[in-house]
Amino acid sequence: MGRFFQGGLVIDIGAAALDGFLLLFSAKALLYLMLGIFAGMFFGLVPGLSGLTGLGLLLPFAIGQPPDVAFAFLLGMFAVTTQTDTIPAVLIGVPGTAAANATYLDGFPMAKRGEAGRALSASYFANILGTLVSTVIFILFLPVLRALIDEFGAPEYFVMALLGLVMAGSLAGRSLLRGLAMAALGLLVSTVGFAQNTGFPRYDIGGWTYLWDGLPLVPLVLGMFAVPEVIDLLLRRGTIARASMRAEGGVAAGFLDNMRHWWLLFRCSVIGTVCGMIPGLGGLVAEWLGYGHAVNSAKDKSMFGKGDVRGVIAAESATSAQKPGSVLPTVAFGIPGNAAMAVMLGVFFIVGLRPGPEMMHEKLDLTFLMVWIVVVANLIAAGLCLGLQRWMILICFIRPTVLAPLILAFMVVGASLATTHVGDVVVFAAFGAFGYLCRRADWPRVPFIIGMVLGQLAEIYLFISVERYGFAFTYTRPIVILIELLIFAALAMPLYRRFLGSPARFAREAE
Amino acid sequence: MAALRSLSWWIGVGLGCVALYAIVVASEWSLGGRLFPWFSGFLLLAAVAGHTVLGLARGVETDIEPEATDGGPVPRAWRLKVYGWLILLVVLVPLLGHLVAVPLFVFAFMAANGERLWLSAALAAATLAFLHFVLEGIVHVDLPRGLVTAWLG
Repeated sequence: MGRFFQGGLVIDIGAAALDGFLLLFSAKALLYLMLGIFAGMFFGLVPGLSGLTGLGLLLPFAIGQPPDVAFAFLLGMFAVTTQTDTIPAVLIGVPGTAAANATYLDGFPMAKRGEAGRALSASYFANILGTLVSTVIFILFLPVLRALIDEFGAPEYFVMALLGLVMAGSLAGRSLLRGLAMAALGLLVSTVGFAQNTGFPRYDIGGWTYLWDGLPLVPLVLGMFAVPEVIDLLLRRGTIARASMRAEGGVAAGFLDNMRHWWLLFRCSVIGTVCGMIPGLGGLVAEWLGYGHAVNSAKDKSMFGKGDVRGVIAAESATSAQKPGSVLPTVAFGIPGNAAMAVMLGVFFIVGLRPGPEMMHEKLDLTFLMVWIVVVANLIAAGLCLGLQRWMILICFIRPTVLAPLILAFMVVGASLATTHVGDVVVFAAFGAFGYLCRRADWPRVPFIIGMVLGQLAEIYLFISVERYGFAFTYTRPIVILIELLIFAALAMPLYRRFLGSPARFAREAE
Repeated sequence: MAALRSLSWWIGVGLGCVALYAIVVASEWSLGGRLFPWFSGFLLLAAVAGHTVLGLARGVETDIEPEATDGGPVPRAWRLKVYGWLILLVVLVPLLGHLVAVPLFVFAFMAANGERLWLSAALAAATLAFLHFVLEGIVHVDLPRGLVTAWLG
């Protein structure tokens, strides 16, 4: 343990943190960050769309850019969707994304009471402070992870990938079997194309050369995640918003609310960070766990659901804290904490980066850059929201018959930018239909995308492990055995979760 | 049997078929080539087999209800119309190419769904301008031309 606290290590991490921060302030990265922020604010605002839709749409424009620019664009977009999704939740009573449902429970009643400005301000500051708390936890964890990762070889990485998949499969959605099946399907889909170890094309459906390079990530992500959301938007038909509350003043009151409830904010940020680190949980669960914790730990519960600012602070700090939290397992072990990080992992491969020791040592500045992007994007978005929220809400009044065809059009174009082959449209359409069916039938899509991205790494690690150690690696290496035990624990998690109770229970309690 | 009427259950059956196909096809490859496909294929098969058998024995959880509007459930005709528009888009693009199909879709969809003609035309023109000037002109993306457009030369 002594090596964690050596002066060299602190300087090393400090220098990487500074380098990462400076990387963000190149003109191009800053420009793309701002574009990403504006796009993210839009996708957070419009109920029915989400950060994942935005990520899919922007992904083609990030490919081909250097890593710092691509990260600034995509992460900047994704980081701020949970800032603006509060605005429709509070002002018109319709959450912008699913991650603002708990905020709506107390934010909307506050708005009805004439405290919309205070609720929104409390939410923005909770977002910023939640992100900062999560960043501090990230920095504290870093030395421990760096030491751990140096002990890892191919067998450890392989079982870690399995752990990530099992956790994603068991936690995302209501059915363990469906989650595991979707994760396995993702792994299987990742094997399409030339085998990395034999150079032999696999599953190319009668020699269709388009498939030799594997299924491209962009049309697949757009199909699986964006198409179902746009279909829902279209099916809703009418304007999402009819009347809006006014949000004026309350900036200082919202900030002071955060200061007054700093201990709650801190606890919920820790909950959010942990949720970010565990694959399959994500913002929705983080938000409800944070909200549930606020309700359960409060002495006076009478105002929850009727406009208690603690509900807003708890939900928002937990949601925002899970984003920096999800960066750590992604860069250290190649295990994405959520679907957005799975897409980011795909970007890693495209720009020539590999998660693992490299991202913890030589490329640590890029790892820090990812966290700084989330922090800076949240700060900028909060400032923009405070100044522009009364006009931003007008976006919610655009009719789906205007919005949806434009989004669909750009989705088709974005899908085709991957290889500019007509096969991209086929993949987009096929996975769009499959994603929509999965959504209707309650088959979780997040484990699929995590499996697909992780498959590329897992196959190499499995091949190296078997070639070098035979199958004995599964029972002769202590860390492998420890991770295997964690896998069994993750398989038992659904039962444990049933014991803990569902997020819906928290909502009912609050109501 | 309730499971036979469940979309969720049939998705499980479909995935089982995919897993079987993947395993059978991979059996002809060398160990290095088939190791991972078999690993993921058998994992998928085991999970969907459990889902299918449990579904028959205990029933499948209800599928998610169709999206509701303010006026109640989404009308079937409107749902089919939306699906039809999406199918039209993905058919038009390979046939006509992005540059023609995408602005045409934007215009046709908006005009057919009650938007004003000038607004539909303006947004279609803006889409065309973005594709031609920004993507092709500035970003130098070579958008696919489409079968009919290529045939016409």
